[in-house]
Amino acid sequence: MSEIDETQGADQGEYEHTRVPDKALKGGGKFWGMYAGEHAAGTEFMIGPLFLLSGVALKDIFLGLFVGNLFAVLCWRYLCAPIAVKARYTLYFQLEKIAGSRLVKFYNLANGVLFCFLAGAMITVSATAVGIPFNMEMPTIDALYPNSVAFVVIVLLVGAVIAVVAAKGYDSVAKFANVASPWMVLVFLACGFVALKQIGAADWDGLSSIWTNSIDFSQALSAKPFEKSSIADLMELLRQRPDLVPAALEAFKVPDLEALAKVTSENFAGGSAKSSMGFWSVALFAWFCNSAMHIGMADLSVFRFAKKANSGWATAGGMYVGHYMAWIAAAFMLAAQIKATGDSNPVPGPMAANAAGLAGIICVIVAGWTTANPTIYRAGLAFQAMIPGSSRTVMTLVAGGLATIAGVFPAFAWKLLTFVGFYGTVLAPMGAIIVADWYFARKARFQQFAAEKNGTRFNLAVLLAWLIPVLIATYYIKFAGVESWFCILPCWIASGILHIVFSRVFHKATA
Amino acid sequence: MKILPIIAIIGLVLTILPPFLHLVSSLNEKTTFHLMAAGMVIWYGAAIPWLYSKKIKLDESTQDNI
Repeated sequence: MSEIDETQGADQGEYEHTRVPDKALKGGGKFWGMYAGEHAAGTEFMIGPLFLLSGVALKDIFLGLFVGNLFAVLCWRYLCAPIAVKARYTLYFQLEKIAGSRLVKFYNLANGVLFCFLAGAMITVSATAVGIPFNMEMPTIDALYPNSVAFVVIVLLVGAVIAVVAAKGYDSVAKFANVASPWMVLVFLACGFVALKQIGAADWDGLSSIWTNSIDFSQALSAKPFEKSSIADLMELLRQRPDLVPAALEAFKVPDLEALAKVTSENFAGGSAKSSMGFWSVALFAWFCNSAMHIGMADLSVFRFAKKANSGWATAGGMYVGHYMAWIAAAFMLAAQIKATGDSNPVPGPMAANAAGLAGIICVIVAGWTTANPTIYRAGLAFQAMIPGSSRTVMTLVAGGLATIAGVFPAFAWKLLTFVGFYGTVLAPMGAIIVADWYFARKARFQQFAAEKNGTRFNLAVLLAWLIPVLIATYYIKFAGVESWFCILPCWIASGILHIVFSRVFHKATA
Repeated sequence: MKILPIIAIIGLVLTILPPFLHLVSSLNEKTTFHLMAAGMVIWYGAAIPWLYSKKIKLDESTQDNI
């Protein structure tokens, strides 16, 4: 007998274990608002500045993000939405039919653990804003560990509040996030306006020149042997290590320490900016940073309510508001900060305070909180599913505790680009398995929804198709230095092909 | 209750208009930040009772975080 009972859940109102009926379908307008609000999150404060620090040329940011986001929208529209409006199942229910309930729990656990680290990065982001009134020493971009007791205490307090609120339930936080999102979108735009004014460029060439100077300046500061992110920190280092003075004067092309103290990106003679991210890196990152949602099929759960697959276009609202305007605005905030203070530390709290005052500080706190909260909540649900009989509240607090511990280590926030790429590398391939199962089962003559048809809780073919590419990619990311966002598409394609191959071996269709 | 959406929209206008004027004209930064802070207070003051009164069905199964 099948493990899955399609009749259960319909009465719960969320249609988690049945098709969404026609009466519950929604028009396209609902999705535009939802996506536009959802993508103005705490992560955006980090990602834009990290592009600048990676040495991305200004035109590559504008063009790369445009192209990458377009591909992401096309994936939602032509891969995710068509399956969603035909099947009308959640990701988990559809995956359960293919992979079995136990394997889905395993996938869900991986999801939950990754969510904890993402929430941890957002707790760090919020803490940088909460710490401003307390004159907290901000962690620097090179810091793997916490740099002060005050930082640890504030992270623990912020994390505790977020975890307790998440444990109390989802509705109140989600409602508050809905209230905050239109305002946050406008604050991002406002920060971009103010930062542009602070940068003071008259035209594109001027802006591009200041941008390049900011990259040169931040790279000179962070280069060995200095490895600092502000002139103030560099001067402090030179006081302790006078032997480094000649190298510093040479690197910044100034005659003495007095001149060095006054160097900003504006009067820096310039170096030779080294970019670790070009056009394709930016485009691929933008395309795949939400890969778990589009090619990974998590948004089957959203678009199962859509009347038509055309609703997939609504994701453009999220991409071009959150992943275009907000990322560029946040990058400008760092360029403005470097120009004004010689500080290339991409700490969201001070950057937003510089660009929007009190509203900016509150926006960072709210953005970090409204991102971390539902993330911890869902991680708690994933952990609860792994331990039958466990309390959701306890499991949410466990997830919150994990996220808070991760938040104490600022490296998770500073390495957000790599982490987001890895998150996609692990989760997106399951979407390829759904696509292969949906479109190729009949043509390749294997059983569609094999777990459901065979009554199994664990489909080995799916596990192998998922894990083999992911483990190979993890090796390349960890040991060969391959950027994680380059691995997502190859993994996705490999998982789809392997699912077909293994399903033909293990679950050949009978005539 | 009918006036709440209008007040909320005024809050949003105060959030975005001053920075735009700061960019294109001579509105100074300090005034811009004060007006934005006022906009924030007005927005949350009006939008919370306005939007909380609406019954919004939320889907817990997925939400993007990036």
